[in-house]
Amino acid sequence: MQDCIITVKSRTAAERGRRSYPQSGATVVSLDPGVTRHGCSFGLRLPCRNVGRMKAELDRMGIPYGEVIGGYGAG
Amino acid sequence: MSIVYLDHAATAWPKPEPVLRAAVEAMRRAGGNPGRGAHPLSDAAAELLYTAREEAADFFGGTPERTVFTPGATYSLNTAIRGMVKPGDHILYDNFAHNAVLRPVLALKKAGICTADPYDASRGDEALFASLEKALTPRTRMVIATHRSNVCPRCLPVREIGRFCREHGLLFVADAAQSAGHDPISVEEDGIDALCMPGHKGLLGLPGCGLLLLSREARCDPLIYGGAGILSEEPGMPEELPERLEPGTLPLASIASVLAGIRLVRRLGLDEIREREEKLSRLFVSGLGKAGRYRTVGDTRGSVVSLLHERLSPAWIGALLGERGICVRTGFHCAPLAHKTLGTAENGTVRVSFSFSNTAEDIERILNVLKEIDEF
Repeated sequence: MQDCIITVKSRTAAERGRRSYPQSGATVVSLDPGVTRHGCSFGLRLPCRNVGRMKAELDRMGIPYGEVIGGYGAG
Repeated sequence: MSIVYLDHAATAWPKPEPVLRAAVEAMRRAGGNPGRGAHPLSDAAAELLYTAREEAADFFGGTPERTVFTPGATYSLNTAIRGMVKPGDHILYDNFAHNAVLRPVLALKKAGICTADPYDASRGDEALFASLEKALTPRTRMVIATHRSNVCPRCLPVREIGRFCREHGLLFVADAAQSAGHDPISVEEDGIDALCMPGHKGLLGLPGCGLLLLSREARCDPLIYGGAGILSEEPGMPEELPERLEPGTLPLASIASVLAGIRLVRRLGLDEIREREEKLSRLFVSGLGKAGRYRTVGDTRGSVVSLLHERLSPAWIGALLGERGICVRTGFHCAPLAHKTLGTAENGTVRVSFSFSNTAEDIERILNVLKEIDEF
């Protein structure tokens, strides 16, 4: 099962997103500054199959997010 | 000497055991820096911090991401006032305002950035709105209200003031330093743009943490700049809240204590808290007449009672009470305008402030000592 990361700007946004969809299995991760090209940021790491639903939750909560990075974890 | 603590308007004491335990536990279990990493201790800290935001927002009708932790109510008020006005704006403030409101407003005025005028909140709610209407100018942009005075129990009608501000397109800043944890107040329901409060008074937490809850519409610039844990390569503070207004490392032990305090307040209930405080206040005021030549100043219903003696100065009374282990505050209580309003601008008052944790025995003890002082 592969994990994906949805990038968000802050730890607060990440925590808010994680709690909005607890069944997603998301954890909050710190991202390399180069990922957003603006410095430190955070992400929600979760099984790729839950990305669609999590993005819908983030939209519903008005939490902006950036790109989705795929392919983490063992296959 | 056993202590009778009647200075809760300055800070709550003793701190309840769950509050103290929460602070210690936070440092034991979540001692990392919240939002500054993703290792286990930083994660634990960030989760605790977000829980505190979430529960504070829920209690005060705000949203977690617009619930900002500050070093205290003074800092919250300064941020709200100085961060939301623009050059040329006119500010209205009530005549019970604490120096935490008055000084930042007058500093803006002195610097020529804003103009400002007081409105009269001392003669009832109808007169208050007449005074507000009269003080409005085409440049008025912000109204500040002391929800509850720290000198007497005057409580301003925040919901109606919020409605007035909405109708007139004004920003509304509420100073809840004395009301948070005592009276219901809500960003959403009361139409407040910036709700400012300390964590160490009615919310029973440790000093070092205040709250600033912003409405969905409020736009507030920071007073202090620094690391926010995000967007580090940007030259300015990030736009994201709450990080925009929370530079530097947050006092997590204090924040955890405030969270525990909020839970205690919710468990007890605001109605129960007010009922107990008002009962103590009534007991005190009814006994004061028999204690000697004392009189109360302003309203007497609530957890704060100000008093004067016919002959003895407030400072003298406070010192004598202190010698007997009774803790009250005397003087102007950092609210000179309130004393001017109440006609006590010469020496201020003796302020006795109760908490639900006080007892009838505490009241009996202060009344007995006041009687001795009167006969001194």
